[in-house]
Amino acid sequence: MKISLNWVGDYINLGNTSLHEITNLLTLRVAEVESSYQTGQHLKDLLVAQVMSIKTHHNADKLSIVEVSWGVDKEVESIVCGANNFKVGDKVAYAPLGCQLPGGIKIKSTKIRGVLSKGMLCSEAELGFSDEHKGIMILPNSFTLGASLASGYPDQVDSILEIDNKSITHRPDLWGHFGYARELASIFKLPPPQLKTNIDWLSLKGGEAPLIKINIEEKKQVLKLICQGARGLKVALSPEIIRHRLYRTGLRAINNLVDVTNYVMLDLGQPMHVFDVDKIKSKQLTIKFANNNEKFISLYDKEYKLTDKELTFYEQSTPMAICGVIGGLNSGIDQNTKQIFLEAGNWKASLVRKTSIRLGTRTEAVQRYEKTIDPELTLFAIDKAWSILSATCPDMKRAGGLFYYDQHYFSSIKIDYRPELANRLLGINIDDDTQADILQRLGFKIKVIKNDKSTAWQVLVPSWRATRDVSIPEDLVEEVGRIFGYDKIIPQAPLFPIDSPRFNHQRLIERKLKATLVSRGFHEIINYPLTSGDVEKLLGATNQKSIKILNPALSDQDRLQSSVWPHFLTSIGENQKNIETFRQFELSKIYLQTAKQAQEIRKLALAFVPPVKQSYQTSFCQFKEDLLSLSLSMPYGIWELKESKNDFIFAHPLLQADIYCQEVQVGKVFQLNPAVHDEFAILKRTFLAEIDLEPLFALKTLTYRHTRFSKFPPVYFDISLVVSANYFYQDLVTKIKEINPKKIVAIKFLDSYPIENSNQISLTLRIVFQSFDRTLDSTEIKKLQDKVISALEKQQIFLKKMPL
Amino acid sequence: MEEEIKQLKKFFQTSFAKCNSLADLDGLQQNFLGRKGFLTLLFKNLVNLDVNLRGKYGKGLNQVKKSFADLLTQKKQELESKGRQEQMKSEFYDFTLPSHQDPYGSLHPISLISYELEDIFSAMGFEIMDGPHMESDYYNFEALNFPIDHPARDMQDTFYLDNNLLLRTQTSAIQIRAMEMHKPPLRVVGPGKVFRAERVDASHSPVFHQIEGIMVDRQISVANMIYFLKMVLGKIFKEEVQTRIRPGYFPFVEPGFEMEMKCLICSGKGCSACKNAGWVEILGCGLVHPNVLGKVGVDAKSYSGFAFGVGIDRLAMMRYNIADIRLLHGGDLRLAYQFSIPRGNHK
Repeated sequence: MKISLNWVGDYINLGNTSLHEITNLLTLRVAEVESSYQTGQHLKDLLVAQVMSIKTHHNADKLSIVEVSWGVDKEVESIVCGANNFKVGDKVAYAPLGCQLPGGIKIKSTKIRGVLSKGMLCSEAELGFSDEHKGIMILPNSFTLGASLASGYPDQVDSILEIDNKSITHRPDLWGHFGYARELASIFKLPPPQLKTNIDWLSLKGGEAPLIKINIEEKKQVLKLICQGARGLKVALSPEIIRHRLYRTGLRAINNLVDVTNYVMLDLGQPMHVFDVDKIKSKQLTIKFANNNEKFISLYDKEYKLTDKELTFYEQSTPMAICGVIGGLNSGIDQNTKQIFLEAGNWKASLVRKTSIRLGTRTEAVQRYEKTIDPELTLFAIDKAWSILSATCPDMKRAGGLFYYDQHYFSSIKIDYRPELANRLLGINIDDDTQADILQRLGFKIKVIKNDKSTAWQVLVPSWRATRDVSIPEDLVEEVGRIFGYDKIIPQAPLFPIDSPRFNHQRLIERKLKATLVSRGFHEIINYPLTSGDVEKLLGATNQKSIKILNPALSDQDRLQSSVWPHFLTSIGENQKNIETFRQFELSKIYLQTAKQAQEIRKLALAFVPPVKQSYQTSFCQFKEDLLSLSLSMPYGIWELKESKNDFIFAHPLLQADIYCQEVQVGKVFQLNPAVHDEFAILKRTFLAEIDLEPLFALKTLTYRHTRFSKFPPVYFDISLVVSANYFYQDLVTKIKEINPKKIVAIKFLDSYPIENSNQISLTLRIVFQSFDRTLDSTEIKKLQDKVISALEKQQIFLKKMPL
Repeated sequence: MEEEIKQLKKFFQTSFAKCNSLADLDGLQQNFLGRKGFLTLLFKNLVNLDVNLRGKYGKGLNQVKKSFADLLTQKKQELESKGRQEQMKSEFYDFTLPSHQDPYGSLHPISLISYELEDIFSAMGFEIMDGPHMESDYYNFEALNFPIDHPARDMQDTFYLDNNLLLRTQTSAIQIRAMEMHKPPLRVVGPGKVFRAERVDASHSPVFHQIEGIMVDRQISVANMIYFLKMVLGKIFKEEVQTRIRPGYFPFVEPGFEMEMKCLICSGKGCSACKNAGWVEILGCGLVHPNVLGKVGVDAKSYSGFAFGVGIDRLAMMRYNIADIRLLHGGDLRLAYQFSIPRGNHK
């Protein structure tokens, strides 16, 4: 919201404190000032001039040549002007050569259609007074010729602060200028401003019946309501200071009856409403919840459908205004309004906010009511409005008595407070007197209760801070601290107890596995874990019940992912457009709803898009190396791949394996099923793996262990075998090892290649025989070799015949 | 004999001078020192000499043999070294030829920053805790002292789920879990994803990352908090930073603050990075609200603590010069490749 310092000046005298200092101190002690700027500086250069003559431009019908003068002995300047809303003798705003207007227009002498124009006559818009740009501004005749416009409009030479609304969500007292006057007064130690009424309204309470009879059906929802009828009104322009202030702070002046409500709202932070009494035929209003599906047209001519949760002013069966939100078109003022009913109310904050959400309208009134403003403001608002209206409506008279309802919703808050608390929590020493001074300037009242040890106070919270903002001693610490100045706190090292933190082992493992993947050329990606029904459909039969978002921001993000694959595969498809071969991984979560609970399960997805020309077996082996390295980055032992027959939609039906660790399945590795390539715009063979971190983390942690070496030499037995192409190497190894687990200490893979024109491969192995207790002799070795060969022959695996 | 030795020496010298290769050298070795070599023959001739002379010439021959052998060894070393050098001259590797496989992987910028923060906090004795993304109203709001009708609880800000849970809107929920698990004194940070029902643009994302921290002990003050956070920021930005705090509102702290850091780019003079303010909002912090302590059964009269929350995405964007938050969410490897190799200065 925008704050005018001239307006604040109605309440306090800031003297010549610089705008920079005000901005800075407000930010540090009250609320964030997003920006601040001066207005009306140009008015110092503009002059009050008088129109001496008006001639038509010989070269343009719509232009005229105007001669103006600004004093007896001053020369006359001629100006080419497009407007024609003035006559000879009128006083106008003359911008002489060299001056600069808002928006950066610099006045230069220019030839317009052959005629030299020296200066410019300004419209209200050009002066920055309003949006009015139909003609030039005609100044009051009372203005002195030759005087600067700044002297005619001193209030326009102003400074504006733009306050970040988010920084005052907890400060209902800062939604009007008066609140800033109070804060600035306490920062600069100026006399605290006080709100006073001109009329003793309370003495009028309970006398004559109000002009309109108000019947509150929902007494609990109305915290306070004050209304006053008036007659003898005349719709007119508001006084210019009001119009100009409204404009500078971001609102548009309309007429005196509308402007007064806006002005009071920006002044005190109390929204108001004005009913046109003649439009309330029955002279009765009832405050009750609306009927469901009731149509209501706002004063901005917008239609809303109400529910039975909207607190509404009804005249008989017609809704006239929604409490705390917006007035209705049917009872709003117009050019002919003569009698009004002024209303200043205070409603339950949550009620107003919820209605505004349902209706989708967040008016200035809503923004204030939802912060729980001080109910005591209502009376000051009525009084202020009355005095402003009487300026434009001298014939205004009170009509009917004052309507006054007060639920006394907020009880007064007294806080037991010890000044030492501020010192302890802030880590600074602020003496009692200073603390008392700060609190009192902000409107808190202190009752000192001495006791032996230290001072104890009972602090009475002022009504404007007592609606929810301040209620505990720590709140007072904040008040004292901020006004004293947080910048005066000297940073101080906390006394740490020396103890080692509890380590988050899983997180450390996650980091290690990521580091391993990175060192093997994998790139980490992060996708949104949100997805849509359409995407989840791709999971087909494997799809589990996904958890939906009740209020999605976007329709393609309306649930939590139940699989990492759709997003991951999409990014692979995208990346294949840019990069030929790559590795990527993502550590993320899937979200599942079981009958008992909602589960978040960590998943690691890996992809390897190999070079196209490389053999598939080689590519797969590279990926397998990656996986085994990965397994060794964790303390659970090396992984094993086992044949898999999963019906997983993204896996090639044959080219897939399950990953086991400590005999527990911890993931799967597979080639992407070519059937889904198109779905993800994937063009190339892609190897993938999914690692389940939850079962992994549940495994036993293993460590390294030394076993003694054999003192006796190993014997190598190299053999080449012919095996069927779809025979698993691992099965062969197991078979051989079984022959003599003690003496066969290792089997090493040396080479393999397919045998042409057959479905077989040649496989060369090295079998290592070794004993722990003696050197093997040649008979023993021969026996072992024969055993191996005969065992293999039983499996229909034969030694390769060497070509002669 | 004397004459024969003289001639042999001369002959050796001429042959040696002509010797230019290891093969020549080998021939020389054979001819002079080999089993049937000249010198061996002369040694054999010694037997025919007078006993007195035998000793004299025998000694002389041994000297000759040693001198020949030394020369040959020396020459051999020379030739070998020359040969190696010749061979090395012909050898060439193109060091600039790329390796077959791209060896560079990368961590995501979010991970880089998170781990850096975790290291800083771990070193100061903080435990790193995780919390669930799906939270109950209790952990996300109620225990954190959000009033029942606080706007943050509105559907506009919070994603509500069809299982009576919600997606946590702040990592602050971890505060409560930490205090439930451990009695004070405690020091915990909780990094992770958070969710807000916001529309996506260059600086807003429905999913982003925060790290929340809390320290509770006897006698923890705002002065301690400033000291601590200033030190942490100094470690993050790798230089001493100037900070200031101003009032800020978060329901779970009282008093609450926004901490600002003097802009490192313009040193506070005002530039586009700090929107001419000279200061950059960097984190929210405050003393843990007594109601929050009360919810987890910590006596607010004997204990106090501070809590803080930092947006990780924003830190990553500041550190790595990323202007659009959307780049941080999605799997574009063109971004990832820029995080394989460091090549920027810290500022």
